[in-house]
Order: sequence, then structure tokens, then C-alpha cells
Amino acid sequence: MGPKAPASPEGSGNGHAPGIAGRVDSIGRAAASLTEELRGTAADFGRALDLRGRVQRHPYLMVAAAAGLGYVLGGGLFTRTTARLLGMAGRVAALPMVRSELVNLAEAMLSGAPDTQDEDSPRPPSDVPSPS
Amino acid sequence: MDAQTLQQTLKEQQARLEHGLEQAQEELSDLNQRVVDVIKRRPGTCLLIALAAGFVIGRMASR
Repeated sequence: MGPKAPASPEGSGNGHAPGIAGRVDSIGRAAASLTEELRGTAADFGRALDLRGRVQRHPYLMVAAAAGLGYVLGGGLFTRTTARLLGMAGRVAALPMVRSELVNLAEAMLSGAPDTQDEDSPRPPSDVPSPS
Repeated sequence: MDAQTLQQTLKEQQARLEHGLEQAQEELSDLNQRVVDVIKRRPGTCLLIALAAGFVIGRMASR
């Protein structure tokens, strides 16, 4: 696998110089094409991510996502602070459900009590005076 | 203080409170609009700042 000195057109009289120059040229061309390809891939990636459009549509969400990514990159994921934050978030998320359950229970107790007494519960003995 | 004066005072207080609440709501809405405008005008800068802030907070939390 020696250098192809005679085949190279850029001959300078030296047997090794044209081959090396040709290789340098081809390496340069390959590097340029690789750079172009990388640039195109980066542009495609940017277009696919559509960061600008996403920020236009959901500005706060994207800022929060960036902050969250920074938090994870900063090593804050597996810490006590994260566990505390997740616990608080879980409680806050569960609050509406618990509240609606309590409201339903209270409504059922308030509205269902006379009905159940009328239909399901046995009538008081006749010798005991009824409160009404 | 008779009932009419008390009622009048309460009405005044209520009107003042409503006015304050409306003003606070307008100011908050204005601030929100300005923040959204800044984020939309300079998305890269804002995302980088948020990323850096998150990184610093994560770094502090991990210690």
C-alpha cells in the first residue's frame, strides 16, 4: 500500500510529495463534507425539536423544563430535597381528589340520611313517640 | 355607632378592597404579559438562564 506517486497529477519531481498532497486534499474534502453533514444534521435536529415554536406556544412550560433539566444535570435528582418536593407535589395533586371525596361523602350524608331512615331503617316502635 | 353607619363603613371597605383586588389583578396580568413577551423575544437566553438556575439549585441540593 505505497503511495501512488506516478498516478498523481500534482507531481513536483519528488516521488512522495504528490501522494501526500493528494491525501491531505482528500482528507480536507472529507472533513469539509463531514462538517457540512454535521451542520445539516444539527439544523434538522433543531427543526425537529422546534424549540423556538415550542417556546412561542408554551413559554412557562419550556422554561420550567429547562430549569428541571438543569436541576437533573446539577445532580439534584436523587436527593432528599427532591424527595421532599415530590412528596409535597403529590399531596397538592391529591388534595382536589380528597376534597371532592369529602364533599361527596358530606353530600351523601346530608341528603341521604332522611331517605335511608324512611326506606331502609326499621320504624320505631309505636309506643315510643317519634321526634316529629 | 348605629347600624346604618356600620353598613356604610362596611360598604366603603368592600369597595376599597374590590378596587385593590382589581388593581392587583391588572398589575399581575401586566407582569405576566411582560414576562411572556421577554421569553418569546429571547427564547434561547431565557432557556439558558433557566437551565443554569436549575443546575445551580440542583448543585446546591446535592450538597
